[in-house]
Amino acid sequence: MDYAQALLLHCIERFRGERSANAAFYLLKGKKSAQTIQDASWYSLRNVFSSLPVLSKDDFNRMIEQLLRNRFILLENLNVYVTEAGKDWLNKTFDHQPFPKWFNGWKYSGVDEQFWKRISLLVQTISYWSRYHSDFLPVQRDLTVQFWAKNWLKQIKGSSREKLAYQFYEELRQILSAVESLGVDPNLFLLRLSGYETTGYTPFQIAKSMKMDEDYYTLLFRGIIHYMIDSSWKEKRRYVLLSTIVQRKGDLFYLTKSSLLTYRFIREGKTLDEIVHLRKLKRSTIEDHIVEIAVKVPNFSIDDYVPIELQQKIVIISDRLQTRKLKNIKDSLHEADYFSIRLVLSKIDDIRKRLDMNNELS
Amino acid sequence: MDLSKLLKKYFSYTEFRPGQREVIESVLQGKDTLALLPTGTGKSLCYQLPGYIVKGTVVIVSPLLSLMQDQVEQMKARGEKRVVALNSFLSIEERQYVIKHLDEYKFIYISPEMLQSEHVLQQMERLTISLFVVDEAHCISHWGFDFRPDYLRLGEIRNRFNRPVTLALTATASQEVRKDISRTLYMEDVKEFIFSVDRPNIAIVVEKMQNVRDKGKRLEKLVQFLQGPGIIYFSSKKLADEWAKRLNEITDVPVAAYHAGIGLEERILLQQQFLYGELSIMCATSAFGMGINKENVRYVIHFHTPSDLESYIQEIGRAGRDGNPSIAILFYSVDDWILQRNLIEGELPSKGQIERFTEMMKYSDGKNLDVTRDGFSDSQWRILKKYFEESADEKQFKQKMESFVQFRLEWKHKKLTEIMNWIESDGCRRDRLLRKFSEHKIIKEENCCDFCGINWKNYERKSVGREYWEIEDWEKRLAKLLLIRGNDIEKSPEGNRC
Ligand SMILES: [Zn+2]
Repeated sequence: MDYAQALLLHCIERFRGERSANAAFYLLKGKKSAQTIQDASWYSLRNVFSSLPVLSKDDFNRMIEQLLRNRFILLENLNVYVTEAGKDWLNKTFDHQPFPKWFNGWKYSGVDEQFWKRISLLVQTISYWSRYHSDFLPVQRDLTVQFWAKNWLKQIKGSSREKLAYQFYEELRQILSAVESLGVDPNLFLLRLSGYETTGYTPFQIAKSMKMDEDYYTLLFRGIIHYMIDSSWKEKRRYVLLSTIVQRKGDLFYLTKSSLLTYRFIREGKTLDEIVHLRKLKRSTIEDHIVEIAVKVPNFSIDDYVPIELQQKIVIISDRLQTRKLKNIKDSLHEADYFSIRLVLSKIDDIRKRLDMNNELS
Repeated sequence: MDLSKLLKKYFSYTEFRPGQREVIESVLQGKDTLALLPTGTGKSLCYQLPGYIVKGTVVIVSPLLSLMQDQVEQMKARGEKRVVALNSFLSIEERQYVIKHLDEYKFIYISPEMLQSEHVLQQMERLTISLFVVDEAHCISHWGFDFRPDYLRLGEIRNRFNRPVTLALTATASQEVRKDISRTLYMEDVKEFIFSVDRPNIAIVVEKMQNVRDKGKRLEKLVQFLQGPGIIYFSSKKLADEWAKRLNEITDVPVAAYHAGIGLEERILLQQQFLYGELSIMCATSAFGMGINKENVRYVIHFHTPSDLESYIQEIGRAGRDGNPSIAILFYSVDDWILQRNLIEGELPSKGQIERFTEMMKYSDGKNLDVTRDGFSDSQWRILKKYFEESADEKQFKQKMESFVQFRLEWKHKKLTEIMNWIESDGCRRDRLLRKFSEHKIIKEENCCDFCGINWKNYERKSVGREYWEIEDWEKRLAKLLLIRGNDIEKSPEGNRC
């Protein structure tokens, strides 16, 4: 519970009273609503998105009460702020247990669960199968996962059981060695697996034996899964088997139908004005579409709509004022319109990165 | 036809357990059969084996979803692929697929809820059902301790299936319950097999205490003293969690908590760990035990008095299936009365809940019945829904509901009084327990009960030292999982490296 509280506090701190505590709840749970996705982008909280997917409302309320009791947060006119004591505790917690660097709930939420269910059943099946045992109770009861595993094994034809087991072993050994060389204990993942004469351990048991907060353990575990998905996709030749466990899908966040149509026109090279004319919609509606696209489409460039220089000004002003309130930013930067500010906030992390890089180069 | 040969071929057993052969023969002679077999005696074999002899499909109705799931997995592990469980665990797509391909399965496990669907019934009517099995048949009876309203329609459903040969199975049922079962299922000329519920190798001990604190102290002592593995039953998830934590701290044996609040994947691992002896003690709620075939459980402790003798017998029956000396210890304090009363009342819908349910139904137009069930337990919701669907209007529903609740409350209080009286009574506990099930103890055994006297030395722990797991090197563990020659990493073939 401690680490979950730290994550919650982290969100509240980033919000600086501009968003409610509930907004943090949805963000940590990974709700795929327009508002939550915007919050995650504007307040640079994409990395903690969906970090606590099974958090219940009851537990959340208990956490808020606890934070209030410890005076880590305070409520002022329905706005919630982090106190100095809260910041101290948060820094200490993150120093002691840094947020796992591979964790990427924005990209892999949901996919990670599928990866785990499939790989755990595959390892168990191959473990028994290579020893010519077929009688075991599967660790995954989900029929779709069982069907998938059966098909997967059928498709790996032409290789003997021993050879398949060895290849699977070798790929896992290599990827986990990489995990280890980057300073993370592969047992965080491996102890969960079951197979012939080996029973996996539950997250609770592993966290306890490693003297770790259970939520923190689960984040580290999912971080390893994210690393495995990422590396296996990047090096398909090296991880022939592992890279087939989950399919690289399109984007996690689907555009609404109307925004998708606008996006198509943009890709055909149409300008904003042309699209307004073509679609016979209000300019503000098309602007809303483009903001949605900026939030949801990773490599979408906003340079056609906001000059790079203005982008950087908006980032600097909003960071200096520590706000994501459009009006506050506009009052300090008259040359920017609301549309530009919204677009920039949607890409603020990318722009800041580019800014830092330029500073380093110059 | 040689039943023993089939037993060897399909189940790899060399001999039948008491009762199995008689029941199977009766079913194969085409007789409607009611069998009362104690837990742990292999009830499922009584319909699985006939499945390999009769031509058509075997349909098994069971109310316990997780048990159903376990059985299906076990059959698949044994090599029987033509088996399926049709229940709410399936996604809509899976369900549709299964329903479309029903005729490809030999064994169909189905939950009573599923049988309420007209679509499912129509598809099943097309099958040739040669054996209709009702598991946990005592759920049919108002007099049963685990009454399920959904079960009442089973007789009618059986008629629609052209009255196949029927086998009703239960572990515990009084005479009135047995009558109810035959009548409700429209079974004719029923052959009844009743095997003793007595398990002579389990010593029965009741310990009376002042309060929960004393219970705790006693538990800590016993856990250190007794030879495991053991199961400790608690009345709540919270207590099971707390005690698992506490026992892990103060003892040198590995302990875990097991209850419905723990995720399915973790429950599977915990069951396996317990089965393979990696865990010695399970702090559990009544959710634990069904479908677990562990032979060598040496003790069962009840931290609280169970709600009735039937549940008690089922739960202690999880000890000593290998026939070796085992012990069941029940802790009793006067608080148990109050606790059980609250639990009983909590199971049934309150007046306020009946009102709220009626309101909800009014605004939902009967649609989305299952969406907002917050504030209702599973059993409450099941009962409310059942009676709502059967009532003509709101007034009738409320009347029916209230008289049902009244009836169940009185019944449950009666059962509670029964077990409390048993605890308070003098005389041999086993004898008194068996009398409740119309049996008499015939042979005087050693280590019978706390009244007749037992020798605690028999149950004392022999192995000493921490049986807890140590974290091994990750490469070794990986090799153990996937390389046939186990830890022999160095000698494994080179290659496959890019
Ligand atoms: Zn006795």
